[in-house]
Amino acid sequence: MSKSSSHNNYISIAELAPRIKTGDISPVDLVQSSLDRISQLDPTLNAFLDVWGESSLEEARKAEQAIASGGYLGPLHGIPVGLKDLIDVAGAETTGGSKVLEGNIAKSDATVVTKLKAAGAIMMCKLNLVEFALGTTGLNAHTGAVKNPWDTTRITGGSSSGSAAAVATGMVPIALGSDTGGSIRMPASLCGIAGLKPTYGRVSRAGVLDLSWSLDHVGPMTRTTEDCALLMNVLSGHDPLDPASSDHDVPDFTSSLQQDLSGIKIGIPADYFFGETTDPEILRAVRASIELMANNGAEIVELSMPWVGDGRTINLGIIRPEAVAVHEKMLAEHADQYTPAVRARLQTGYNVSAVDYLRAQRARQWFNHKMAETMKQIDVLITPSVPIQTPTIAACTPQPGVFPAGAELAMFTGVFDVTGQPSHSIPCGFTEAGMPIGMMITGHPFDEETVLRVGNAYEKLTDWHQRQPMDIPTTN
Amino acid sequence: MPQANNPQSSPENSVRKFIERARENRLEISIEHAEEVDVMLSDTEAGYAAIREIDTTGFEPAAIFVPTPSKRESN
Repeated sequence: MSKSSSHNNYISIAELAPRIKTGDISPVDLVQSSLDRISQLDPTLNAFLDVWGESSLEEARKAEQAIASGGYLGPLHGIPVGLKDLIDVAGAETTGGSKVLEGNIAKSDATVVTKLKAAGAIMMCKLNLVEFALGTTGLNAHTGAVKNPWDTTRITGGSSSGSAAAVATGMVPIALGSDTGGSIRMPASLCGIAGLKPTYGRVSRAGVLDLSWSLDHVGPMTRTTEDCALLMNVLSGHDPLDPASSDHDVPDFTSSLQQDLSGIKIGIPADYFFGETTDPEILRAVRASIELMANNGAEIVELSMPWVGDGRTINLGIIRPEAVAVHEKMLAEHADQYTPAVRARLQTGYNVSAVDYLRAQRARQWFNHKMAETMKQIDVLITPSVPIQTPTIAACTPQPGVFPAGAELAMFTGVFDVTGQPSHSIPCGFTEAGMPIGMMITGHPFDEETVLRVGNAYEKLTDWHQRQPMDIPTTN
Repeated sequence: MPQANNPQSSPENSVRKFIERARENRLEISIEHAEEVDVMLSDTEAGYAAIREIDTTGFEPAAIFVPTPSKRESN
């Protein structure tokens, strides 16, 4: 057996990379270790839609040879990556988790895949998701529910359900997700990992299936904030293939990680996020985290944001008509192949007038103006990532005459898709039931550096991000 | 008149209207599908009603359309 083969599943990229560079850890062993863990756990968790074992091992062998020959490309060289199955890889199927797109073979790589490959990363698999990313719980009647590794009777959250479960269990070290109403941060929160929604336009969406083009973001899902920063260094930058792509300067996102919390002004919204509708255990964990940061150099600023509750309403007001516009042709031709829940969500968009859509877009700009004015006082906002404890799969499964649980999950995350601000969820505690609690750090547009600095500084003060789900039932 | 007695607002009428609306949008939809959607429509309508209530008086939104930069290849 090669060096370190079975102990690498929970090592961060930041720790793996130097050892891969020196030959202490082999990319082949790393990929094999992931494949073994997938074989062991995925029959229970259902996080993967496709695993490219042979080609991943072949790529790993090439990486190993290149590194041994002095051709080390950087921290992602030889690292296996999981992709939410709405991201194109040339020659592979992109299904969006839907029967509608079965057999849809991508002709070229998404820009994010091109960038990852150029950095030496190994595309290892496609990950399960809510059909076409339209849903918050992580359930998918076509591909099956992804189980939360902390309690397999509970949801992972969605829509990047497979990405979160795979990273949380060490089946892959890093994954990509997408976020339109919270689809990176909700599952990151519920599964106890880090998930960054970058600033809108920071990471290219070219080659990624649209849900709602003015709100869609692509971003990293990892076990640590530092790993998010390493991925952002590769993923970010202008792309002429994405009309919304920004040409804003791309910094070294790791450069701020050595700094502590001194001088950081943290805004705490008195309204909405910390209200009566938020679960008391979640409130306690986030408040304790804020206190910890205050005791370690951060300045706390109480904010009044009475308008902020309109954010999720505006978010949905834009998603509905944009999503149905994206799906119009496929709905007309293949309505019966959609799962009933997602088809119904899409079809509500047909009832929206053009005036109401434009009102929502106008309200979005008003909302962004209010947010920008408020943010002038602070560096980051700290809030809970989700307002409720993780529901069970049974409670979220649609049944006649019963409104399924989980509708509130995106109440907080959707706010920052509307504003396009960078927003990062990291673990900040556990409920009495043993489920992870997430805290959201949201910064100024194009200031991911400060968001990541605060997240990394918090992780240095705590060990929530190092905890691992144990006793996952296996079927073999 | 109480809403429950108004034939214009009966559930069947609501579903029929939705099917007609869908047809206008080139989508053929079955009664079963329309009933699934109908249960979500009140939620949807409540969301847009809330957006209509947002007072944006005095707020001037930026232009939505921005021309795509282009130039002659020879330049």
